[in-house]
Amino acid sequence: MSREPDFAAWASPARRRAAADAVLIGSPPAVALAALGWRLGGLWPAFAALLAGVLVITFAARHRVSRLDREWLVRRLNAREASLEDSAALIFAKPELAPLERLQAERIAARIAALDPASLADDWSRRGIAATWLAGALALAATLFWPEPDPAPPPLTRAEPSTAAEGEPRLTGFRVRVVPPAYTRLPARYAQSLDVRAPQGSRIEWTLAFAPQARSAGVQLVGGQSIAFASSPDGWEGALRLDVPALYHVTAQGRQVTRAPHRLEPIADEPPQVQVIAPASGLVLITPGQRRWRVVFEASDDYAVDPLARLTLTTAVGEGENISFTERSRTVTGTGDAKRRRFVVDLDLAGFGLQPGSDLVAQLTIADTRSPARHVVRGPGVILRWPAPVPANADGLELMAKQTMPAYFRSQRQVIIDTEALIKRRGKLSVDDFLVASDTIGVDQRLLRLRYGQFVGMEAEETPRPPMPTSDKDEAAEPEHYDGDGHDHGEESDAPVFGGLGNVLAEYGHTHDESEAATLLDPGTRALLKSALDAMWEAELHLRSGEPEKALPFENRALDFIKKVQQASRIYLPRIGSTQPPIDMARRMTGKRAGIVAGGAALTPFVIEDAVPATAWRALAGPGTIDLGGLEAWVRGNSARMRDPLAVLAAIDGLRSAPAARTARDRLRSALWTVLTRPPAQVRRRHDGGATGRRYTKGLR
Amino acid sequence: MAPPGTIATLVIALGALGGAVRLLWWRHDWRAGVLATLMLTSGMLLYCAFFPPRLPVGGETLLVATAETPADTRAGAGERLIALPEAPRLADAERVPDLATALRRHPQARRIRIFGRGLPQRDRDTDVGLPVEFVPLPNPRGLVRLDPPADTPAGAGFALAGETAGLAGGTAELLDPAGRQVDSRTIGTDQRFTLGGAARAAGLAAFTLRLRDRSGRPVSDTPVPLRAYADAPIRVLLVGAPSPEVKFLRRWAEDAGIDLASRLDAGGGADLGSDTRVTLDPASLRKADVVIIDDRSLARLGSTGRAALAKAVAGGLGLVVRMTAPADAGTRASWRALGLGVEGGDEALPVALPPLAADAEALAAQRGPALADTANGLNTFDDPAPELGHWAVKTGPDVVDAVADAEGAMLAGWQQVGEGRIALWTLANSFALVLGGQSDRYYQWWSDTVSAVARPGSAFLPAVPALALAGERSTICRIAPGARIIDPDGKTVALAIDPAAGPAGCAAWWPTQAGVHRIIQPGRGRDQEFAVLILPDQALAALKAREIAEATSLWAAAQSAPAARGLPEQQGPRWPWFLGWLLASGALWFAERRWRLAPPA
Repeated sequence: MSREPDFAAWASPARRRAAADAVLIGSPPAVALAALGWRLGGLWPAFAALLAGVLVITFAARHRVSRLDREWLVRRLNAREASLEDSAALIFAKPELAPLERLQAERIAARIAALDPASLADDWSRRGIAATWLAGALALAATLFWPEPDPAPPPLTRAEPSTAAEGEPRLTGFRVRVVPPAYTRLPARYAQSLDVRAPQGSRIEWTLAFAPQARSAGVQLVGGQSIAFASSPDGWEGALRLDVPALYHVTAQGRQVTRAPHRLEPIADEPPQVQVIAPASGLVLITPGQRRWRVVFEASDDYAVDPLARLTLTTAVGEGENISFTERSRTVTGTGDAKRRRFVVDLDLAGFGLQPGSDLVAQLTIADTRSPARHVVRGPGVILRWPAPVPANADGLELMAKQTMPAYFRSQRQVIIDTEALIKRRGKLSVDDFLVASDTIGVDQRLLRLRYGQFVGMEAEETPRPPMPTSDKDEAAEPEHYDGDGHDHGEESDAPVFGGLGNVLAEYGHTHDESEAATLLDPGTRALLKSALDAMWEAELHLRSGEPEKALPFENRALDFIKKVQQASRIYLPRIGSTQPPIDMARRMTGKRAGIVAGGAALTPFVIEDAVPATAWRALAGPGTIDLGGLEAWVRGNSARMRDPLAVLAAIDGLRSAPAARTARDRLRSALWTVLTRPPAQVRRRHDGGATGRRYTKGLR
Repeated sequence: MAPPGTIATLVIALGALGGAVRLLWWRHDWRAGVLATLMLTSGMLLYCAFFPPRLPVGGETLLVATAETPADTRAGAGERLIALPEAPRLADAERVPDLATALRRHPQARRIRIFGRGLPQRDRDTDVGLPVEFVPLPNPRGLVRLDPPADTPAGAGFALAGETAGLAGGTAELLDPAGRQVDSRTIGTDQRFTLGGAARAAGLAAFTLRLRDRSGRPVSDTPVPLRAYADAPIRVLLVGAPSPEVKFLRRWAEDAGIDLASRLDAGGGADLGSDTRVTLDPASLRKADVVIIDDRSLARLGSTGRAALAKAVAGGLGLVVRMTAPADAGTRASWRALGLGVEGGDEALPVALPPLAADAEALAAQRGPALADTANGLNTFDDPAPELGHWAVKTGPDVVDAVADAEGAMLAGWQQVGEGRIALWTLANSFALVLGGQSDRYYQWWSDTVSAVARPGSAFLPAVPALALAGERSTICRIAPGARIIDPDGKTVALAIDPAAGPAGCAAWWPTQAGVHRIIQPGRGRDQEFAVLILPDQALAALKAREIAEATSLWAAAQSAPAARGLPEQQGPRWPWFLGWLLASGALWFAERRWRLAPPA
């Protein structure tokens, strides 16, 4: 056995650990330094910093490794293993040993051989590594994402040389910085001239230089405010928020305003646009067995589309008039570029309860990021239709057959329920209250009868109503009395109350005429419906006279008939809906025609509100004076209709500054042409040619 | 005493004859013959030297330099170069203020040759009595003919046409007064073009006609005046049955400022028209300017009603008959009774609609700012044109088109009957234009038709040249004494009416500057005004050059006519005769010496 174990084998794990530890601790600062160098100076400084870092780390690692020498090993072995009895030095240190020492050394050598050299290494300096890596990451992030400092503003643009009197401040240079509103995410830029065209809401910052130096300077908006600028080392500085189109002059104390004004033109934020990408057409028919429906919208905006959009899903279930709508909405998230986002919606059709004949409408509502008020746009709707089964051909009828009944046919049942409830409550009510309650049910029964009556051609007996329900919302309120609130029909205030004898015949007489003339129902259904109406009439009679018990059988008969009607073949609806005006019963069949046309020929005259510019336009042809103030106010008030209101305002300003100049008048006149409204083509008479012409035409034959 | 010529003639004749006879008496050979002949010749030449014969001599030729005369024009022998004021600077040219001055200064001139563009009007007024020679220069490049738009009702469309020289393949553009392009057409190989635009408010506007050559470079900008009128409202009676056509017609009439009274019979005596019922009696017809009636209502009027209508038309009323159904023989007969002679009308044909404008941008410029209640999404330009039909009627030369479609089929036409006019509207459902977003076309068609027939008026409407240039004499007619002109600077020029012009009431006027001039005529109560746009003098250079060339050619042809005058004669020069006599006498002397002819001894 070798008395001299391999020192390197014993030390190398610890040495490797120490070197790795040094590298781990040192590398984050080195990388961060390199990043800093790249950020500040570019590639070569970064490389140099990295090299320096590597050198430093290498040096430190070597230094740490070199400390792990023989003495360290002896100390470490002695400290780690008590079983070595502080004699590790015997094996590693001394070449010449005394016999006793040799004996001890052999003992120890056996023990040492049982040890693992790797266990001698120092632990990872975990805290140090974590701290440097964290600090390094922070430093790296800070270096990379530290905002770019504002670049130094460019030098002033040289202004075009202009003639100026001696001692008059002359504009020598300018700088116009345009800071678009934050939501546009556009960077600030410098305008090339004093005419500025920028997004609405931008901040315009001027820096103006004059020679000789002016005492004060500013900007005068034509027909508006004037902004005084503050002095700065660069020149005179001032700013304005650009909201409305305007013209301005650069002013300075002692400077004559002679030149044409400069333009401040805001670019309005356009509302976003929604397009349907898929499906290709607005109406899609469901395919048999379809479970999912994919709709893709694309929204575009001039700046950014809000990634969150609202999808409105409307289901129309049912047929004919018996359609129920449900609307639900959900939020969908768009993907893609901010200016052009795509919203992909996958709909699971199972949750919508679609049946044959129902529609599912999907519509996307998007917004842009405009601040303060967002543009919200509702896009086109796409319809998924489950086609209704085609009804059997109805030849020879100029009508469309629908196999359905109106939804309000079911409320006869409600009348019966109400009647039964009233009979049960009879003991608890006073006679008068009972009569009133019975009468109220009678009114309901009557309304129901009138409704049915319209289907067989019976006319409404009093207040005119639309002959057919014209919208789904109108008719839902009346015949459905599910709340059971005692039938306090506030809106039926003109309904007859019990005991009123004024129009008994009109109330109870069968004044409907010619039900056979009605063409809505086929004859069988019409007979059934008529029987139901008769039963209802009887029931109403008894209800109104306070005898609900007698009315109940009739009510039940009416219900039976109605159920048969519901099971009857079909009902015909006119192909096109036309709402006729209510018939004036007072003059019906009287033959009197006086006054039947009520002001049919009155047309609202057409108003072109351009009297102001038209007058000015005509006046400008001559040398007369023009009301420039009024004209300017008109242009400002109507600028939304014009393409380029600034051009007109500039021409007005030009004429104001040189009232006598013909060119200025001509320029304003030309500019006004664009704002004149074209009236509908008018008519002119030909000239009669004077006395000669009249004689000539008289001689013609 | 006899004149000296006769004596000299006798002496010479006696001497020559005596010598010749003496010689021939002496000798009878050929030499004597030669000598005698020489003697006679010498005598004759002597006579001619004394009394040279009158010869038809041309005298001088005047070379007249006008505008754009080539600089290398020189006067040759027997020619004299004079330069009119328009001529460029020429070497050795005599400057004269006009041609008459030149002729007075140079009465010897016997012929005139004109160089350059031609004579201005100033010099063409009178005949010069000399033959004139003129070869025009080729037309300058640019606009050589311009038919400016006629006076237009406010809001109506207008058209202008022109012809160019040397610009085939280029474009003609119409710019509105603000400089935006309203219409643009490519100039074809026939060099002609037609452009259209729309008038707006009443007043005088200056459009610009811009010509570009094949490569797109602008060649010329010509101002085109457009005068839009707003007349006193005309009174229209509308008779018919309620229909969509009537609805939109009433809408147009209301909007166009027409004083409309309507009678819309809904049957059973119900009238959906004006509050006061419209009757077609002679009194109300006298007050109306136009009656628009549909064919059924016209048939229902009966022969007495139609006779009253015909009488009113002869008195100046305008009548528009609106077809709602194919015409049959009875209908046509009733129309003929009114004075409207058309055939056919029982077959419906589709209407070919020309596009509203060259492109969407031009359409927007034509329409101007939208009204407040105009729909936003109106996309008339790309939308398909509505399908229209009209009843094809056959007309004679008496019927003039008021509205025609793109293929030239008559949609509405009118015929003069007495002092009034009758128009026939053959479109069945023209209101579809409004529903199709082309209401401006609908309005235009009805405006054209109603304007064509409306009772003539006698508003102040002087007759002025359509294109008047500064620095050129203009004639204004239809004015009354006291009329004056106010120029753009506000200076007033009184107009003196030429008594020789008779009832036309014409005055001459020489505008000196371009711009809007106003003719003011004192009327009853207040002054009546009429604006005229005077164009800058160089605005129509190419056009004027061609006009002058044509007029000068015509004038020159009239001057050179053979009947102009017999050629003048003049005493010829003496020296050739004298020289001949000297030669003949010398030869005689020489021969006598040589031959030594002596009397036979």
